[in-house]
Amino acid sequence: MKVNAVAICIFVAFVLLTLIITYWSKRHSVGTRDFYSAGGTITAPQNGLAIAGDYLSAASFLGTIAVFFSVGIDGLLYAVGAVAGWPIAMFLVGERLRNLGRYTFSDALAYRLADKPMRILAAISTLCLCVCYLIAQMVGAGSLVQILFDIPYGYAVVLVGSLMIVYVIFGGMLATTWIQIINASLLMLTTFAMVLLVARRFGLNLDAAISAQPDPTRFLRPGQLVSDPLSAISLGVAFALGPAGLPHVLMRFFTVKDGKSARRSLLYATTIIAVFQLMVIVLGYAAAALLGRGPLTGGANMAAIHLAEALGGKTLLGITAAVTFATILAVVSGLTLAGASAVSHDLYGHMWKRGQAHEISELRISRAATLLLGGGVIGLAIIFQHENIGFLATLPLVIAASVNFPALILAMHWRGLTTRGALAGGLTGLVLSVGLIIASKKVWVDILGHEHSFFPYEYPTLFSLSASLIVSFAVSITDRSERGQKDRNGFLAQVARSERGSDNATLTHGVQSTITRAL
Amino acid sequence: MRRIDMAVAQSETRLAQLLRQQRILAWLLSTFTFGMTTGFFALMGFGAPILSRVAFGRSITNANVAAVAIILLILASVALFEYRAVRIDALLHDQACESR
Repeated sequence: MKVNAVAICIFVAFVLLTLIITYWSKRHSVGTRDFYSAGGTITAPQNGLAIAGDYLSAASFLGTIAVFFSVGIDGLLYAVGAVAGWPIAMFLVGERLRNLGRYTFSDALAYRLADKPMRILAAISTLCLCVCYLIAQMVGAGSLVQILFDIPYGYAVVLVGSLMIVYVIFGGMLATTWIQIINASLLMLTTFAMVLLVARRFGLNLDAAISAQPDPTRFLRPGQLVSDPLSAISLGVAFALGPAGLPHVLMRFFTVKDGKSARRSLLYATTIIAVFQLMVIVLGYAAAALLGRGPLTGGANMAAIHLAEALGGKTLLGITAAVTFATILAVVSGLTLAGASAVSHDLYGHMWKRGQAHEISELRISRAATLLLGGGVIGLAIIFQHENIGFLATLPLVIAASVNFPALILAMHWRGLTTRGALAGGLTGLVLSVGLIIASKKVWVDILGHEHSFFPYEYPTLFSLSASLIVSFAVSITDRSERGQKDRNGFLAQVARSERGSDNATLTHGVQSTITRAL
Repeated sequence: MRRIDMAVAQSETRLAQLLRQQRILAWLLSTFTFGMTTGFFALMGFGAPILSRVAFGRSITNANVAAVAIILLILASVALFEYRAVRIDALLHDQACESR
């Protein structure tokens, strides 16, 4: 692919705009509250757009269209999966989490459970998840920039990583939020423009997608993307439950002023993501119709970029490529901020300094963590350049669904959960989710070069989540410790706080007994 | 009991009822969404022949219809949840005003 002047112009304009936003954000951010949660000043519609911008990564756009192009109807799995997790996050997590926490989801975990073990668990899972997600995104970004701007892969990764570090260190959550809002808006507009061009060419009839296939029945036959039904179900479980456990997304709930706004942001986010995925289905069919069956420059993952060229020439290609790049920048900024916050807020502020950390020193640690995380991920992205990144991209959802989701759901909805139970369940989920992915064929055989894999399935969510839940239940039920009793006793106050946004202490005795009866 | 105390007690009972209903609705809708999603993934994973049957034209199969239906049902479920939650917001707001 030749260097595209339109892409470079839009890319430079976007980078300049985001740097101006970062400068403006730096002037408006003074303390930890501004750095971690933009001072709680973001409105629900803005936050909805930012959540969509945070979640609609290049994998959503490039990946789904690529699956339609290369495999066929199985692209629907990604389209449905991308929407499925948001209602569950809205119904069971969003509002309660906002009412219980301040900056990170571990605040909610530690509301009635012991502070130290919960924050260690949350920080470890957050860091594992963010590093995997960041490597996958950075490798994707590096490849895209390498192809589009014709520069070496290493320089491309350093460029993306440096921008990400600047946004987070100087702009914090405010800059990250606005970059995500701009990204989501641009992505929606570009996708909508492409759908209009498809409609102008084909009308409402997408049968051309079938006519272009050498074997139409293969295009329409499901079950080609995932090798076995159990892996397909595991993937579905990860999609449905993972978003409610993604730390960089959960952090977004604290940027609005109250629980009601957090719930509304999820309403907006779900709507935006659903509309986007409906448009992506149309584009997937259009890619199958217009791009023929020959190999594409840059591989099948570039199908969306080639489709843009087929629909709107070099201009639309440039716009789409630049918007895709902006998408990656928005996602990696959110991830880096979540990882840095886990270090500075949970590990340093609450564990090391026992909640007595000075604001300035906590901010300093956060910025240092951003620098270290960013630098480390740049190095890892260069090392992983030629590796199959598919497993890295799915790991975050699997870990989130196996560790953070069960811990959060049980802590907020089950009176019987104790610290021991949450810790044992969380660690089981973490070890199994990461271990089984490494032991699966994709990693153990395809990447590490061994002859046979220990684990016969592609995705382990069904096993790791089930084990995490069973261990949490079993350990909590058998926990007779004083701490365990204290954890159970704190449930009533937590429910009052999470549902009403007010402490139980402020409620009258009559109200307390009404809640107890209702539960 | 004074009239104002009775009003507060009635409002509190109503709020507790609504919160309980909302909790049940949240779990019902979550189970429904989770069931639809994993069911769809399972059918796709099994390569169920019913999904590859053409529903419209030559290219729109039952799998497309099911996927779009799931996405639309998800949109309807979040709208329903929000519609119900707004009533709780109003009661909480009233209580906050009364306590002030």
